[in-house]
Amino acid sequence: MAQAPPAWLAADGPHAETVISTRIRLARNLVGHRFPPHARSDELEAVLQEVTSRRDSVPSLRQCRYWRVDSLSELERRFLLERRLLPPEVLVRPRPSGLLASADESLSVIVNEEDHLRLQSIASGLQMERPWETLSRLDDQLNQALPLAFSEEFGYLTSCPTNTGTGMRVSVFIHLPGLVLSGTLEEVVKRLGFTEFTFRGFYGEGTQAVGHIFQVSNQVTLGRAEEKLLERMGKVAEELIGLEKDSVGKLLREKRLRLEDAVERAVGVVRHARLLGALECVNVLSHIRLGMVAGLLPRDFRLINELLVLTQPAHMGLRTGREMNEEEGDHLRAQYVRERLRAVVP
Amino acid sequence: MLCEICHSRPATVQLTQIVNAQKLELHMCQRCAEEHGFTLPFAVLPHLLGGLLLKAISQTHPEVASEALPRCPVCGHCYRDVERTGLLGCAECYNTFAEQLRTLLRRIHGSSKHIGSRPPHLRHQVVTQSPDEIRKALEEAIAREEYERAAELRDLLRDLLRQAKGSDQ
Ligand SMILES: [Zn+2]
Ligand SMILES: [Zn+2]
Repeated sequence: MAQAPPAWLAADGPHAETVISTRIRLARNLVGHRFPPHARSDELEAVLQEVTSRRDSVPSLRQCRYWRVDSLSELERRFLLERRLLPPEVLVRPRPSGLLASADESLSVIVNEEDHLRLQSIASGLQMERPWETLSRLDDQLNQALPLAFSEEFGYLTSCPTNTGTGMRVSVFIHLPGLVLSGTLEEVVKRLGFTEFTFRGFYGEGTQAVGHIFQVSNQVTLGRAEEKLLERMGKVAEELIGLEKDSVGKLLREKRLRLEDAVERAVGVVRHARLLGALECVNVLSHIRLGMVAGLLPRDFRLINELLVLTQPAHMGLRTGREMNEEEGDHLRAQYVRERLRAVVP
Repeated sequence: MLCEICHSRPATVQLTQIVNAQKLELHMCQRCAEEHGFTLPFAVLPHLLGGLLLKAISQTHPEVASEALPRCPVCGHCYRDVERTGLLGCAECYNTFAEQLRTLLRRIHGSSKHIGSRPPHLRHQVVTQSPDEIRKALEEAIAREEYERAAELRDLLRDLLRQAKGSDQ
């Protein structure tokens, strides 16, 4: 499996300082088959067969690599999950399913997840146009190659009614350490209200948001055109970007000591930690990233984005190619981060 | 508080979601969080609203004996299965349960009528065929600010009128 980082981590898209990536996915299903959560495995096999046999008539998929998901090892599946090519459900219970992904991982298709087909495109920073073009092209090609379930009234028919219509979910992964550190995130989120959009975060122990990374997605998929949804998402994200920049500026002016303390503590961990757990690592990298945003550390957003993924357990595991216990893994992670960040944290 | 996923270990971490100024939380133990990939920096976090909405709706329905309920001819689901799992069985379910689904979809999305993109082979085919119906669809599209669709409909209307004129001569 490739260790080269995916293109969406390259930090070369618009607003890449604040927005790590934009992900769009489309849910599609085949006519005449039960949706995967209710299908027997022979029916799932038939769907896989139908899709893979038509692959050559779908130009966007010709260059893609194919994996049979249920014959991968657990470590390999975790690796693909860490790269956002697979959803978490496949760890618990992989059904007969397949994954197609382009070399730079900007385009991928999962067969037999919650829907027969899940099309995904991810791009660096905040950009809707390119991933949307990529996906609509693939969608048109698939519509010509396979009988997709569509109704004039309800649109594309999906397993879960929360996806019916466009089947489109656009998600922006946004780094908001300034708003978290200044304690204004909650108020900002409340004020923005997120009508028809969701704002989600995962909070570890001590109510710290993991890596200060949050996810904004559209909630509504029916009764709105894709372009409209994407346009509105762009506006919501831009508003958050502006507020995050303001809050970093304010921290620099009014609470500089606190800001420097948070960043320098992370620098200390990078320099001196001998054991670095995966979750602690994400939070340390997030503070280093904040140091770059605030101009306290040399900027290399690409490096920091890549480290956020490359230091995850399955990536570490596959890189060393041998079984490791937790302590060995944490030791290796501490070494790896120190070496890779040498130019930023000498 | 116990983990809402495994219901056995204490909940120490949480997933928070805000939509329409409403906050929803899913509390869980570290292990379940890791198993579901929530601890990854770019985890795709699940939507918490779908299931809750379905539950709320199903509670408002009066109890009916399940044998009496219509079943989908393709997958054999009855609407109660949909309520129980929050998922439809197959594409044909949308036909079988169209009436219930209209209500459900309106609650979830505020609308039950698709407006977005259509498969290429249907793109230039309009279901409503009389000029009056197209005119009405056009007005609706403009009201919804769906200008691309409006342009499509306008072209179609023009073609139709031109054809009608041609056949008169
Ligand atoms: Zn648990
Ligand atoms: Zn059905």
